[in-house]
Amino acid sequence: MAYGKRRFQKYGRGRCRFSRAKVKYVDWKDIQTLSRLSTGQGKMFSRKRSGNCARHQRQFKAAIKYARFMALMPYVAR
Amino acid sequence: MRTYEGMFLLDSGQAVKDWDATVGVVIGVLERYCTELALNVKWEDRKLSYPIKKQKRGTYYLAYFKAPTEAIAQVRADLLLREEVLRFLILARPEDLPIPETLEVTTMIDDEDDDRRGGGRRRRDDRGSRRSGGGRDDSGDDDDNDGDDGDDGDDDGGED
Repeated sequence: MAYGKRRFQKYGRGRCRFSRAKVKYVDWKDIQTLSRLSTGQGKMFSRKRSGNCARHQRQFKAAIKYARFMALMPYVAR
Repeated sequence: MRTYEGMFLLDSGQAVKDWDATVGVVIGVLERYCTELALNVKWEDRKLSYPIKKQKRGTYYLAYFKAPTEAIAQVRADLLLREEVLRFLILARPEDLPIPETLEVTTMIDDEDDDRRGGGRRRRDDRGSRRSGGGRDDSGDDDDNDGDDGDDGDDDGGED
């Protein structure tokens, strides 16, 4: 539990990368950022792995679903 | 009256053949039901992540418009009948977000801001941390061939 906290304290950063960049809304058209936060198979990173805060993880979840619907990102990559 | 963001996936073949007519379908529907068409631009022509209606490529068209809420259902119903529009997505834009004057999709996070450890980009499944529970990593039974690549099958004969 304390591992993540210590790790971020070590680097002297906030936890969420969207909060650090002061992103108000996660843009579902920004495929580069969305694909950076998903696996090669197209699965979303967990909060534990991405380090997102709850608010931005919820926005990221919606954004990746919009991007999948518009065929910008795959539902399942082979 | 709200501001909406609509993305329309158009048939790439028809868009290449006659762009004005293909886009005119979308613009015609939007102008019929919506009050103000703020920004409408061709976004990108790209390969789709999965085929839609047997099409592997598509042209994305992005529009920001203001419309009464009742009009969106009519826009949807009208666009569903159009063969040129493969798929569309209409989202209500948050009130505090301004409509962009020009189309630009910038990356939200810079590369140097990415705090993933290890420097490089890790492309593997999200199940890596489970290995730490077993503690079998340092057991020393590495599967490389440990020296006994002995003399097997010296079939160097039979050439006369």
